[in-house]
Amino acid sequence: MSGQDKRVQDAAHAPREDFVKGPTVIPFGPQHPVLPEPLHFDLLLEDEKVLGAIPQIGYIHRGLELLVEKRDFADYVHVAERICGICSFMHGMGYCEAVESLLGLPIPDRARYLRTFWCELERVHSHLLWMGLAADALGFESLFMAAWRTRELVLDVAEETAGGRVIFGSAIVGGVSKDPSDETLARCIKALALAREEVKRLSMVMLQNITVRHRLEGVGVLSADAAYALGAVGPMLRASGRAYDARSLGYAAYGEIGFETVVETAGDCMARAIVRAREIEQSFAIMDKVVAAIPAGPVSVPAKGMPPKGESFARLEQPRGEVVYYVRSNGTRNLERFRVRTPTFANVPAMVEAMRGSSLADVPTIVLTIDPCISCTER
Amino acid sequence: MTEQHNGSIIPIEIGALLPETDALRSAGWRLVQVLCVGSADGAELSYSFGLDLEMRSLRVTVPAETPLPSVTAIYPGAFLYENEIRDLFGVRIERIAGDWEGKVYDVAMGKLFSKVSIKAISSEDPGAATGGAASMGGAL
Amino acid sequence: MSSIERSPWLIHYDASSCNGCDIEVLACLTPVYDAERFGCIVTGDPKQADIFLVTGSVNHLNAPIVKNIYDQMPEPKAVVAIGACAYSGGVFAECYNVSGGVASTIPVDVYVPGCAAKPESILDGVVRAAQILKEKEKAMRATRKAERKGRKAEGAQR
Repeated sequence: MSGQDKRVQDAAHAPREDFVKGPTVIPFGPQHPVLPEPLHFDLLLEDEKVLGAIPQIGYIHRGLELLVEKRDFADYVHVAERICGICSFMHGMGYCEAVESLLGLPIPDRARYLRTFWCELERVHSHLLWMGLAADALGFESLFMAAWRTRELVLDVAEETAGGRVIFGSAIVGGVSKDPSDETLARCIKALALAREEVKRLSMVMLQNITVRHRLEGVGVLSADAAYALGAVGPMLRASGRAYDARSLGYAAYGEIGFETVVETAGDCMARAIVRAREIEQSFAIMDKVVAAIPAGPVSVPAKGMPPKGESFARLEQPRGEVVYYVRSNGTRNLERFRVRTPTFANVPAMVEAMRGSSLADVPTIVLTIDPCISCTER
Repeated sequence: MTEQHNGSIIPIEIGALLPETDALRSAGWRLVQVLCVGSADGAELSYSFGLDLEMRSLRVTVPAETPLPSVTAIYPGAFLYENEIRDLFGVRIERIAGDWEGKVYDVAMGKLFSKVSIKAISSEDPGAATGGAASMGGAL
Repeated sequence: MSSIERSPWLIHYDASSCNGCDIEVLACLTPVYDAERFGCIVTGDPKQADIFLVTGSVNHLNAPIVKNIYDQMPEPKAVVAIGACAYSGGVFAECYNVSGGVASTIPVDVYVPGCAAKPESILDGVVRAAQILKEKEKAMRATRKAERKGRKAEGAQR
């Protein structure tokens, strides 16, 4: 008997009061029109009001952390990049940063700048992707299309500089594998300036449109204390008024380039949208600075020998928030343990909290404003 | 810079886990992650906490079959980590607020759309609630 | 009959992909690549869909969901498996929670190569699937016609 048949049978034999009393349970997902990825909630409703949500993950769990035992530590970057196709470069780079700190391997300056450039490029493409999907969830089809058209300009730059559209494939242990010339970078900055103008226009539409504001303002409010206590990260935490951005750690070239942490205080869906819109603008500025200041020189150093026995963490700021990598070596070519705590994994408890008390029609909006990445979460 | 990423790792006894965690929470630290490394004779858990840019990890070594208290009463958001660790590593973490009963990644097909009994969630007594959502609200 | 070939409706499900192929599928539907110029439109309802786009490999948890979506689609239907994972598991083939490509659960008509698959090749896969749909519909009609003929002959005999 299949699972569903069993469920129907169980329900048919359940005591009558289970149906009459208590909240209505509405399954949300895994295959749902607003979700590009499978995520499931059991929403407990009283009329239209959400009393609680029980998240369920596991549909795309692959178990890639264990694969580190079978692959050479330098080859595992390919797997790390595919933790998630949206922040692929940052995943590859985060793994490399952790391994490099284990090896005690400083990377060349040009590689650090290029990493920063690609990180910000990825942030722009991810936030634009989010803007499109959020618009789609709100029924704002033309903004969805416009955001994705602009995103293609950014992906063209990615393809030209790194060689891949979504999986960049340019992070390696000891630096980066691609070295775009200064002329290429200058040309890319020109192309990005076009995208920047377009994004400004789109952000204005997104943040000032009366319908969008009506759907986002005051919806899914998360207080600063709740966000902090539940371990939320990224725009989710910053929109609630806590200024924490892992880029302040100064990894790659952020120490030299500098940036400003974007904070909003309202804690609702609108605040999260504003944080992302402001971050896109800032990312363009960071890329300009990187290209203006990029030093000449080699882009990688060979990673010789085995990683020594030991362990290391690395923390980065992804588009969705802080990510934590952990590697442990036993002195052989295959690492003993690799672990990644992704931003969506940390944001799930806060998302559930934000949903409580909202109405059923707002659930897709709330889910979309945390910008869930399920592939990251389940690995 | 490596130092900043790694932070300090402090080995502690199982008994000291809850008091130490509670002290960190009172001092305003947030839970960054819970990490588990399996070994032949048990597991090693690292609870990482962050305050601004600083990171500090408490490390507990748990022999096989030894029960470990849950930190969800202090940090309600830890329920996802603890469920995952129990499912993937078999560490006996006890009294998780929001117990998924071993179904984080492997859901029995018979209960595809439900993990926690609905009755427990809707119960008015928060102490009886075992669902993540309900008990988390109580702990805040 | 050309109605289906000229306006196939698509449904997309992410089995256990890394997202790379999924966002490329979405990119196909937006202005630059614009699959809608072939008459395609994405639907969330399997019962209205003609072409099933699957990304990622199958595991024991999502296999019934993939099968369920496939079973709910009306005949004729075509399946496009997108990316290396949907073919064999790709880089994740050795992972413990990956049971193989999409073909281990449902019949696949078109494979789109790549990791992640490029929008151009996904478009190509969709166009091919539309041709396959046309052939399948032709075959369906022929079978029905033969059945009708058979019934008529039976009636005449009686």
